[in-house]
Amino acid sequence: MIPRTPFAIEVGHADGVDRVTIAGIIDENADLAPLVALGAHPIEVSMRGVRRINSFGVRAWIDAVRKIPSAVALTFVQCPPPVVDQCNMVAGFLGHGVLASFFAPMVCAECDEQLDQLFHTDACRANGGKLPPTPCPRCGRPMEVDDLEEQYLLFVRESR
Amino acid sequence: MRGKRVLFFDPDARARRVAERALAATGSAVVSAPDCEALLAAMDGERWDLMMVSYDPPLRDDPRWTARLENFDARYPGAKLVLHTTAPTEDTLPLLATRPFLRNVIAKNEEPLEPDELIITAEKLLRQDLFGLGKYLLWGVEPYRVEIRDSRHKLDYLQEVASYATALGCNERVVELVETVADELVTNAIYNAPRTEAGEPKYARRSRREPVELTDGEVGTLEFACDGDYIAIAQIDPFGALTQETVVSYLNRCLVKGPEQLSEASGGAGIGLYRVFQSLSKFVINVDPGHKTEVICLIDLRLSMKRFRQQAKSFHIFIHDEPGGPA
Repeated sequence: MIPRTPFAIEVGHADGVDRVTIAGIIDENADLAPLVALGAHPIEVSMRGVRRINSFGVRAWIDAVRKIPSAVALTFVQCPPPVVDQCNMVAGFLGHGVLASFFAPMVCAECDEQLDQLFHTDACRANGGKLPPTPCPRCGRPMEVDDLEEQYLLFVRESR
Repeated sequence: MRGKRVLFFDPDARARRVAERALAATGSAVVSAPDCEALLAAMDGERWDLMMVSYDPPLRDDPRWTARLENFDARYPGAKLVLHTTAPTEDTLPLLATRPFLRNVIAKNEEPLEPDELIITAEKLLRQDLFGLGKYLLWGVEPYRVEIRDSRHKLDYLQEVASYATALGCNERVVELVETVADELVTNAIYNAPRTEAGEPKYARRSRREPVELTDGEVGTLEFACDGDYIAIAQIDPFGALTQETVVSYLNRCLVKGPEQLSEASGGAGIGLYRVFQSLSKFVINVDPGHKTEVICLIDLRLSMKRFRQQAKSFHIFIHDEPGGPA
Protein backbone atom coordinates (compact mmCIF):
# COMPACT_ATOMS: atom_id res chain seq x y z
CA MET A 1 0.00 0.00 0.00
CA ILE A 2 1.27 3.48 -0.80
CA PRO A 3 1.38 5.73 2.27
CA ARG A 4 -1.56 8.07 2.67
CA THR A 5 -0.49 11.69 2.81
CA PRO A 6 -2.77 13.60 5.19
CA PHE A 7 -3.06 17.33 5.06
CA ALA A 8 -0.40 19.14 7.04
CA ILE A 9 0.22 22.82 7.64
CA GLU A 10 3.07 24.38 9.58
CA VAL A 11 3.57 28.06 10.32
CA GLY A 12 6.88 29.61 11.29
CA HIS A 13 8.34 33.11 11.37
CA ALA A 14 11.74 34.22 10.13
CA ASP A 15 13.22 37.48 8.84
CA GLY A 16 9.95 39.36 9.32
CA VAL A 17 8.04 36.90 7.13
CA ASP A 18 5.42 34.33 8.15
CA ARG A 19 6.52 31.12 6.46
CA VAL A 20 3.83 28.51 5.85
CA THR A 21 4.48 24.98 4.66
CA ILE A 22 1.57 22.99 3.27
CA ALA A 23 1.63 19.31 2.34
CA GLY A 24 -0.72 16.44 1.49
CA ILE A 25 -4.22 16.61 0.07
CA ILE A 26 -6.30 19.77 0.21
CA ASP A 27 -9.86 18.49 0.54
CA GLU A 28 -12.79 18.72 2.93
CA ASN A 29 -10.55 17.50 5.77
CA ALA A 30 -7.95 20.23 5.31
CA ASP A 31 -7.91 22.80 8.12
CA LEU A 32 -6.73 26.05 6.57
CA ALA A 33 -7.46 28.14 9.67
CA PRO A 34 -3.73 28.66 10.50
CA LEU A 35 -3.28 30.33 7.11
CA VAL A 36 -6.36 32.50 7.48
CA ALA A 37 -5.19 33.64 10.92
CA LEU A 38 -2.11 35.32 9.41
CA GLY A 39 -1.96 38.86 8.12
CA ALA A 40 0.32 40.83 10.39
CA HIS A 41 3.42 40.17 8.25
CA PRO A 42 4.23 39.25 4.67
CA ILE A 43 3.42 35.59 4.01
CA GLU A 44 5.40 33.04 2.05
CA VAL A 45 3.66 29.72 1.42
CA SER A 46 5.66 26.68 0.35
CA MET A 47 3.38 24.27 -1.52
CA ARG A 48 6.00 21.67 -2.38
CA GLY A 49 4.35 18.82 -0.50
CA VAL A 50 0.85 19.29 -1.92
CA ARG A 51 -0.12 16.08 -3.71
CA ARG A 52 -3.65 16.82 -4.82
CA ILE A 53 -6.53 19.26 -4.44
CA ASN A 54 -10.10 18.08 -4.87
CA SER A 55 -13.05 20.22 -5.95
CA PHE A 56 -14.17 21.05 -2.43
CA GLY A 57 -10.54 21.74 -1.55
CA VAL A 58 -10.38 24.31 -4.37
CA ARG A 59 -13.35 26.14 -2.95
CA ALA A 60 -12.05 25.97 0.62
CA TRP A 61 -8.63 27.17 -0.54
CA ILE A 62 -10.03 30.15 -2.44
CA ASP A 63 -12.20 31.09 0.53
CA ALA A 64 -9.09 30.97 2.73
CA VAL A 65 -6.73 33.04 0.56
CA ARG A 66 -9.46 35.64 0.02
CA LYS A 67 -9.53 36.23 3.76
CA ILE A 68 -5.90 37.31 3.80
CA PRO A 69 -5.85 41.13 3.67
CA SER A 70 -4.87 42.36 0.22
CA ALA A 71 -2.35 44.75 1.75
CA VAL A 72 -0.35 41.77 3.01
CA ALA A 73 2.28 40.49 0.56
CA LEU A 74 1.46 36.87 -0.27
CA THR A 75 3.96 34.73 -2.15
CA PHE A 76 3.67 31.09 -3.18
CA VAL A 77 6.87 29.12 -3.72
CA GLN A 78 7.82 25.64 -4.89
CA CYS A 79 4.38 24.94 -6.33
CA PRO A 80 4.13 21.36 -7.67
CA PRO A 81 2.18 20.42 -10.84
CA PRO A 82 -1.17 19.85 -9.05
CA VAL A 83 -1.03 23.43 -7.74
CA VAL A 84 0.13 24.89 -11.07
CA ASP A 85 -2.75 23.07 -12.78
CA GLN A 86 -5.25 24.72 -10.42
CA CYS A 87 -3.70 28.16 -10.93
CA ASN A 88 -4.12 27.72 -14.66
CA MET A 89 -7.63 26.31 -14.48
CA VAL A 90 -9.43 28.17 -11.70
CA ALA A 91 -9.78 31.95 -11.53
CA GLY A 92 -8.64 33.53 -8.28
CA PHE A 93 -6.89 30.43 -7.02
CA LEU A 94 -4.01 32.45 -5.55
CA GLY A 95 -6.12 35.37 -4.41
CA HIS A 96 -3.94 38.49 -4.55
CA GLY A 97 -0.85 36.30 -4.16
CA VAL A 98 2.06 35.83 -6.52
CA LEU A 99 3.43 32.49 -7.67
CA ALA A 100 7.19 32.97 -7.43
CA SER A 101 8.53 29.49 -8.13
CA PHE A 102 7.19 26.17 -9.29
CA PHE A 103 8.08 22.67 -10.35
CA ALA A 104 7.60 21.44 -13.91
CA PRO A 105 7.64 17.77 -14.88
CA MET A 106 10.60 17.43 -17.24
CA VAL A 107 11.40 14.53 -19.50
CA CYS A 108 14.40 13.76 -21.68
CA ALA A 109 13.38 12.49 -25.09
CA GLU A 110 16.84 10.97 -25.51
CA CYS A 111 17.28 8.86 -22.37
CA ASP A 112 13.78 9.06 -20.82
CA GLU A 113 15.07 10.64 -17.62
CA GLN A 114 12.15 12.21 -15.73
CA LEU A 115 12.31 14.75 -12.93
CA ASP A 116 10.44 17.65 -11.40
CA GLN A 117 12.60 20.75 -11.94
CA LEU A 118 12.24 23.95 -9.92
CA PHE A 119 11.83 27.15 -11.96
CA HIS A 120 11.41 30.78 -11.02
CA THR A 121 8.52 32.62 -12.60
CA ASP A 122 10.66 35.71 -13.20
CA ALA A 123 13.17 33.61 -15.16
CA CYS A 124 10.37 32.28 -17.38
CA ARG A 125 9.05 35.78 -17.92
CA ALA A 126 12.55 36.95 -18.88
CA ASN A 127 12.70 34.03 -21.30
CA GLY A 128 9.64 35.21 -23.23
CA GLY A 129 7.14 33.21 -21.17
CA LYS A 130 8.97 29.93 -21.73
CA LEU A 131 10.95 27.62 -19.49
CA PRO A 132 14.69 28.29 -19.45
CA PRO A 133 16.78 25.54 -21.10
CA THR A 134 17.20 22.53 -18.82
CA PRO A 135 19.96 20.03 -19.63
CA CYS A 136 19.27 16.41 -18.74
CA PRO A 137 21.40 15.47 -15.69
CA ARG A 138 22.01 12.04 -17.18
CA CYS A 139 22.86 12.67 -20.84
CA GLY A 140 23.13 16.46 -21.06
CA ARG A 141 20.57 16.82 -23.85
CA PRO A 142 17.88 19.49 -23.46
CA MET A 143 14.83 18.30 -21.52
CA GLU A 144 11.29 19.30 -22.32
CA VAL A 145 8.24 19.67 -20.15
CA ASP A 146 5.90 16.65 -20.17
CA ASP A 147 2.87 18.85 -20.63
CA LEU A 148 1.68 21.50 -23.05
CA GLU A 149 4.20 24.23 -22.23
CA GLU A 150 1.95 27.07 -23.33
CA GLN A 151 -0.86 25.73 -21.17
CA TYR A 152 1.36 24.90 -18.20
CA LEU A 153 2.85 28.40 -18.18
CA LEU A 154 -0.46 30.20 -18.61
CA PHE A 155 -0.09 31.66 -15.10
CA VAL A 156 3.20 33.30 -16.13
CA ARG A 157 1.47 35.24 -18.89
CA GLU A 158 -1.56 36.02 -16.75
CA SER A 159 0.53 37.45 -13.93
CA ARG A 160 2.31 40.00 -16.11
CA MET B 1 -25.46 -6.60 -34.70
CA ARG B 2 -26.96 -8.90 -37.30
CA GLY B 3 -29.96 -7.52 -39.11
CA LYS B 4 -29.12 -3.90 -38.32
CA ARG B 5 -28.29 -1.25 -40.87
CA VAL B 6 -25.55 1.30 -40.22
CA LEU B 7 -24.78 4.41 -42.26
CA PHE B 8 -21.27 5.80 -41.84
CA PHE B 9 -20.08 9.17 -43.11
CA ASP B 10 -16.55 10.55 -43.22
CA PRO B 11 -14.77 12.34 -46.07
CA ASP B 12 -11.54 10.60 -44.98
CA ALA B 13 -11.23 7.36 -46.97
CA ARG B 14 -9.03 5.78 -44.28
CA ALA B 15 -11.69 6.42 -41.65
CA ARG B 16 -14.33 4.88 -43.91
CA ARG B 17 -12.21 1.79 -44.44
CA VAL B 18 -11.66 1.34 -40.70
CA ALA B 19 -15.33 1.88 -39.92
CA GLU B 20 -16.63 -0.37 -42.70
CA ARG B 21 -14.41 -3.20 -41.54
CA ALA B 22 -15.11 -2.74 -37.83
CA LEU B 23 -18.86 -2.29 -38.10
CA ALA B 24 -19.34 -5.03 -40.68
CA ALA B 25 -17.49 -7.38 -38.34
CA THR B 26 -20.34 -7.01 -35.86
CA GLY B 27 -22.78 -8.40 -38.43
CA SER B 28 -24.43 -5.11 -39.32
CA ALA B 29 -24.96 -4.09 -42.93
CA VAL B 30 -22.75 -1.03 -43.40
CA VAL B 31 -23.00 1.63 -46.08
CA SER B 32 -20.57 4.54 -46.10
CA ALA B 33 -20.95 7.98 -47.61
CA PRO B 34 -17.90 9.97 -48.81
CA ASP B 35 -19.48 13.44 -48.85
CA CYS B 36 -22.40 15.46 -47.50
CA GLU B 37 -24.48 15.01 -50.65
CA ALA B 38 -24.17 11.23 -50.52
CA LEU B 39 -24.90 11.32 -46.79
CA LEU B 40 -28.06 13.34 -47.29
CA ALA B 41 -29.27 11.07 -50.08
CA ALA B 42 -28.66 7.96 -47.99
CA MET B 43 -30.24 9.40 -44.82
CA ASP B 44 -33.45 10.34 -46.58
CA GLY B 45 -33.50 7.46 -49.04
CA GLU B 46 -33.38 4.46 -46.74
CA ARG B 47 -34.13 3.34 -43.20
CA TRP B 48 -31.17 3.10 -40.80
CA ASP B 49 -30.79 1.76 -37.29
CA LEU B 50 -27.66 3.78 -36.66
CA MET B 51 -25.95 6.72 -38.32
CA MET B 52 -22.31 7.46 -37.49
CA VAL B 53 -21.47 10.84 -38.92
CA SER B 54 -18.34 13.00 -39.08
CA TYR B 55 -19.24 16.26 -37.39
CA ASP B 56 -16.38 18.34 -38.73
CA PRO B 57 -17.01 21.34 -40.98
CA PRO B 58 -18.73 21.89 -43.32
CA LEU B 59 -21.46 19.84 -41.68
CA ARG B 60 -20.84 21.26 -38.18
CA ASP B 61 -21.07 24.88 -39.34
CA ASP B 62 -24.00 24.49 -41.71
CA PRO B 63 -27.24 25.66 -40.06
CA ARG B 64 -29.26 23.43 -42.38
CA TRP B 65 -27.50 20.39 -40.96
CA THR B 66 -27.95 21.67 -37.42
CA ALA B 67 -31.70 21.99 -38.07
CA ARG B 68 -31.82 18.53 -39.61
CA LEU B 69 -30.00 16.88 -36.71
CA GLU B 70 -32.07 18.78 -34.14
CA ASN B 71 -35.10 16.98 -35.54
CA PHE B 72 -33.26 13.68 -35.86
CA ASP B 73 -35.59 11.63 -33.64
CA ALA B 74 -38.73 12.84 -35.44
CA ARG B 75 -37.27 12.62 -38.90
CA TYR B 76 -35.60 9.23 -38.45
CA PRO B 77 -37.69 7.38 -35.86
CA GLY B 78 -35.90 4.50 -34.19
CA ALA B 79 -32.50 5.49 -35.55
CA LYS B 80 -29.54 6.33 -33.30
CA LEU B 81 -26.98 9.04 -34.01
CA VAL B 82 -23.27 8.99 -33.18
CA LEU B 83 -20.95 11.80 -34.21
CA HIS B 84 -17.20 11.88 -34.47
CA THR B 85 -14.97 14.91 -34.74
CA THR B 86 -11.37 16.03 -34.98
CA ALA B 87 -12.23 19.25 -33.11
CA PRO B 88 -10.55 19.94 -29.75
CA THR B 89 -12.72 19.21 -26.74
CA GLU B 90 -12.82 22.92 -25.86
CA ASP B 91 -14.58 23.55 -29.17
CA THR B 92 -17.03 20.70 -28.82
CA LEU B 93 -18.16 21.26 -25.24
CA PRO B 94 -19.99 24.56 -25.85
CA LEU B 95 -21.85 22.94 -28.75
CA LEU B 96 -23.08 20.18 -26.44
CA ALA B 97 -24.97 22.82 -24.49
CA THR B 98 -26.93 24.11 -27.45
CA ARG B 99 -27.20 20.99 -29.61
CA PRO B 100 -28.74 18.18 -27.54
CA PHE B 101 -28.33 15.74 -30.42
CA LEU B 102 -24.62 15.73 -29.55
CA ARG B 103 -25.03 12.85 -27.16
CA ASN B 104 -22.35 10.48 -28.43
CA VAL B 105 -19.25 12.25 -29.65
CA ILE B 106 -16.21 10.17 -30.54
CA ALA B 107 -12.92 12.08 -30.53
CA LYS B 108 -10.92 11.42 -33.66
CA ASN B 109 -7.27 12.08 -32.87
CA GLU B 110 -4.27 11.21 -35.07
CA GLU B 111 -5.46 7.77 -36.07
CA PRO B 112 -8.46 7.48 -38.39
CA LEU B 113 -10.71 6.13 -35.63
CA GLU B 114 -10.41 3.50 -32.92
CA PRO B 115 -12.32 0.43 -34.16
CA ASP B 116 -12.95 -0.62 -30.55
CA GLU B 117 -14.79 2.59 -29.70
CA LEU B 118 -16.84 2.41 -32.90
CA ILE B 119 -17.90 -1.16 -32.23
CA ILE B 120 -18.63 -0.68 -28.54
CA THR B 121 -20.65 2.49 -29.17
CA ALA B 122 -22.60 0.96 -32.04
CA GLU B 123 -23.37 -2.28 -30.24
CA LYS B 124 -24.42 -0.57 -27.02
CA LEU B 125 -26.92 1.52 -28.94
CA LEU B 126 -28.17 -1.22 -31.24
CA ARG B 127 -28.57 -3.81 -28.49
CA GLN B 128 -29.68 -1.28 -25.83
CA ASP B 129 -27.21 -3.07 -23.59
CA LEU B 130 -25.69 0.00 -22.01
CA PHE B 131 -24.17 -0.83 -18.66
CA GLY B 132 -20.87 -2.39 -17.72
CA LEU B 133 -17.29 -1.26 -17.42
CA GLY B 134 -16.14 -4.53 -18.98
CA LYS B 135 -17.34 -3.46 -22.43
CA TYR B 136 -14.45 -0.99 -22.61
CA LEU B 137 -11.74 -3.41 -21.56
CA LEU B 138 -10.19 -6.53 -23.00
CA TRP B 139 -11.92 -9.79 -22.30
CA GLY B 140 -10.80 -11.44 -19.10
CA VAL B 141 -10.20 -8.29 -17.09
CA GLU B 142 -11.97 -8.52 -13.76
CA PRO B 143 -12.87 -5.15 -12.21
CA TYR B 144 -12.30 -4.50 -8.51
CA ARG B 145 -15.38 -3.31 -6.64
CA VAL B 146 -15.72 -1.12 -3.58
CA GLU B 147 -19.03 -0.33 -1.92
CA ILE B 148 -19.55 3.40 -1.39
CA ARG B 149 -21.47 3.83 1.84
CA ASP B 150 -19.96 6.41 4.17
CA SER B 151 -18.27 9.75 3.48
CA ARG B 152 -16.01 9.18 6.49
CA HIS B 153 -14.48 6.21 4.67
CA LYS B 154 -13.77 8.10 1.47
CA LEU B 155 -10.00 8.09 1.97
CA ASP B 156 -10.11 4.29 2.33
CA TYR B 157 -11.99 3.96 -0.96
CA LEU B 158 -9.49 6.24 -2.68
CA GLN B 159 -6.57 4.43 -1.14
CA GLU B 160 -7.72 1.19 -2.79
CA VAL B 161 -7.82 2.80 -6.23
CA ALA B 162 -4.53 4.64 -5.74
CA SER B 163 -2.79 1.48 -4.57
CA TYR B 164 -4.10 -0.35 -7.61
CA ALA B 165 -2.79 2.34 -9.97
CA THR B 166 0.57 2.37 -8.20
CA ALA B 167 0.81 -1.42 -8.44
CA LEU B 168 0.23 -1.12 -12.18
CA GLY B 169 3.35 1.03 -12.40
CA CYS B 170 1.56 4.30 -13.13
CA ASN B 171 3.70 7.36 -12.48
CA GLU B 172 2.84 9.95 -9.85
CA ARG B 173 0.91 12.22 -12.19
CA VAL B 174 -1.24 9.39 -13.52
CA VAL B 175 -1.94 8.22 -9.97
CA GLU B 176 -3.01 11.79 -9.23
CA LEU B 177 -5.40 11.70 -12.20
CA VAL B 178 -6.82 8.40 -11.00
CA GLU B 179 -7.26 9.72 -7.46
CA THR B 180 -8.86 12.91 -8.74
CA VAL B 181 -11.41 10.95 -10.76
CA ALA B 182 -12.14 8.51 -7.93
CA ASP B 183 -12.43 11.31 -5.35
CA GLU B 184 -15.01 13.23 -7.36
CA LEU B 185 -16.96 10.08 -8.31
CA VAL B 186 -17.18 8.92 -4.70
CA THR B 187 -18.28 12.39 -3.59
CA ASN B 188 -20.88 12.37 -6.35
CA ALA B 189 -22.20 8.96 -5.28
CA ILE B 190 -22.55 10.06 -1.66
CA TYR B 191 -23.76 13.67 -1.93
CA ASN B 192 -25.21 14.26 -5.40
CA ALA B 193 -26.77 11.03 -6.60
CA PRO B 194 -29.19 10.09 -3.79
CA ARG B 195 -32.76 11.22 -4.26
CA THR B 196 -35.75 11.46 -1.97
CA GLU B 197 -38.90 9.53 -2.85
CA ALA B 198 -40.12 12.70 -4.54
CA GLY B 199 -37.03 12.66 -6.73
CA GLU B 200 -35.39 15.64 -5.07
CA PRO B 201 -31.67 15.72 -4.25
CA LYS B 202 -31.28 14.36 -0.73
CA TYR B 203 -27.78 15.37 0.39
CA ALA B 204 -26.59 17.72 -2.37
CA ARG B 205 -26.87 20.88 -0.30
CA ARG B 206 -24.96 19.48 2.64
CA SER B 207 -21.42 20.68 3.12
CA ARG B 208 -18.91 18.05 2.08
CA ARG B 209 -17.51 18.43 5.58
CA GLU B 210 -20.76 17.06 6.98
CA PRO B 211 -20.62 13.24 7.16
CA VAL B 212 -23.21 11.22 5.27
CA GLU B 213 -23.85 7.50 5.67
CA LEU B 214 -25.95 6.07 2.85
CA THR B 215 -28.81 3.68 3.57
CA ASP B 216 -28.84 0.20 2.02
CA GLY B 217 -30.98 1.40 -0.87
CA GLU B 218 -28.66 4.34 -1.57
CA VAL B 219 -25.30 2.55 -1.57
CA GLY B 220 -23.16 3.13 -4.64
CA THR B 221 -20.30 1.16 -6.16
CA LEU B 222 -16.83 2.17 -7.28
CA GLU B 223 -15.26 -0.12 -9.87
CA PHE B 224 -11.79 0.01 -11.33
CA ALA B 225 -9.82 -2.12 -13.74
CA CYS B 226 -7.06 -1.95 -16.33
CA ASP B 227 -6.34 -3.82 -19.54
CA GLY B 228 -2.88 -2.42 -20.16
CA ASP B 229 -4.01 0.34 -22.50
CA TYR B 230 -6.67 1.99 -20.37
CA ILE B 231 -7.29 2.30 -16.68
CA ALA B 232 -11.03 2.53 -16.08
CA ILE B 233 -12.82 3.90 -13.05
CA ALA B 234 -16.59 3.72 -12.74
CA GLN B 235 -19.19 4.82 -10.25
CA ILE B 236 -22.63 3.29 -10.14
CA ASP B 237 -25.62 4.55 -8.21
CA PRO B 238 -29.18 3.22 -7.97
CA PHE B 239 -30.93 6.49 -8.84
CA GLY B 240 -30.53 7.27 -12.53
CA ALA B 241 -30.98 10.98 -11.90
CA LEU B 242 -28.10 12.36 -13.94
CA THR B 243 -29.17 14.14 -17.10
CA GLN B 244 -27.34 15.31 -20.19
CA GLU B 245 -28.30 18.91 -19.40
CA THR B 246 -26.77 18.72 -15.92
CA VAL B 247 -23.52 17.22 -17.15
CA VAL B 248 -23.12 19.63 -20.04
CA SER B 249 -24.01 22.73 -18.03
CA TYR B 250 -21.51 21.86 -15.28
CA LEU B 251 -18.77 21.17 -17.82
CA ASN B 252 -19.39 24.37 -19.72
CA ARG B 253 -19.57 26.59 -16.66
CA CYS B 254 -16.03 25.59 -15.79
CA LEU B 255 -14.66 25.81 -19.31
CA VAL B 256 -14.16 29.55 -19.17
CA LYS B 257 -11.86 30.71 -16.41
CA GLY B 258 -13.72 33.29 -14.37
CA PRO B 259 -15.92 34.08 -11.38
CA GLU B 260 -18.71 31.80 -12.61
CA GLN B 261 -16.63 28.65 -12.25
CA LEU B 262 -17.41 27.91 -8.62
CA SER B 263 -21.01 27.25 -7.66
CA GLU B 264 -22.64 28.32 -4.42
CA ALA B 265 -25.78 26.36 -5.25
CA SER B 266 -24.69 23.12 -3.64
CA GLY B 267 -22.61 22.01 -0.69
CA GLY B 268 -19.72 21.26 -3.03
CA ALA B 269 -17.86 23.54 -5.39
CA GLY B 270 -19.64 22.58 -8.62
CA ILE B 271 -16.40 21.81 -10.40
CA GLY B 272 -16.15 18.09 -9.65
CA LEU B 273 -17.46 16.91 -13.02
CA TYR B 274 -15.14 19.26 -14.85
CA ARG B 275 -12.16 18.02 -12.86
CA VAL B 276 -13.14 14.46 -13.75
CA PHE B 277 -13.48 15.39 -17.41
CA GLN B 278 -10.05 17.07 -17.42
CA SER B 279 -8.49 13.92 -15.98
CA LEU B 280 -9.67 11.36 -18.52
CA SER B 281 -9.54 10.32 -22.18
CA LYS B 282 -13.07 9.01 -22.63
CA PHE B 283 -16.14 9.91 -20.60
CA VAL B 284 -19.09 7.54 -20.68
CA ILE B 285 -22.35 8.02 -18.82
CA ASN B 286 -25.02 5.33 -18.87
CA VAL B 287 -28.42 6.24 -17.50
CA ASP B 288 -31.50 4.18 -16.87
CA PRO B 289 -33.70 7.10 -15.79
CA GLY B 290 -34.98 6.70 -12.25
CA HIS B 291 -33.14 3.41 -11.77
CA LYS B 292 -29.41 3.50 -12.33
CA THR B 293 -26.50 5.70 -13.38
CA GLU B 294 -23.05 4.51 -14.33
CA VAL B 295 -20.25 6.99 -14.92
CA ILE B 296 -17.21 5.43 -16.61
CA CYS B 297 -13.90 7.25 -16.92
CA LEU B 298 -11.14 5.86 -19.12
CA ILE B 299 -7.58 7.12 -18.92
CA ASP B 300 -5.27 6.18 -21.79
CA LEU B 301 -2.08 4.88 -20.19
CA ARG B 302 -0.20 4.71 -23.49
CA LEU B 303 0.17 8.49 -23.67
CA SER B 304 2.71 10.82 -22.15
CA MET B 305 1.12 13.63 -20.17
CA LYS B 306 1.84 15.98 -23.06
CA ARG B 307 0.03 13.73 -25.55
CA PHE B 308 -2.76 13.19 -23.03
CA ARG B 309 -3.32 16.95 -22.79
CA GLN B 310 -3.24 17.33 -26.58
CA GLN B 311 -5.79 14.65 -27.32
CA ALA B 312 -9.47 15.41 -27.69
CA LYS B 313 -11.78 13.51 -25.36
CA SER B 314 -14.70 11.31 -26.31
CA PHE B 315 -18.02 12.05 -24.63
CA HIS B 316 -20.90 9.58 -24.48
CA ILE B 317 -24.19 9.71 -22.72
CA PHE B 318 -26.31 6.61 -23.26
CA ILE B 319 -29.87 6.81 -22.06
CA HIS B 320 -31.99 3.69 -21.85
CA ASP B 321 -34.90 3.85 -24.29
CA GLU B 322 -37.22 2.08 -21.88
CA PRO B 323 -36.48 3.07 -18.28
CA GLY B 324 -36.26 0.05 -15.99
CA GLY B 325 -35.31 -2.22 -18.88
CA PRO B 326 -32.51 -4.76 -18.76
CA ALA B 327 -29.34 -3.31 -17.30
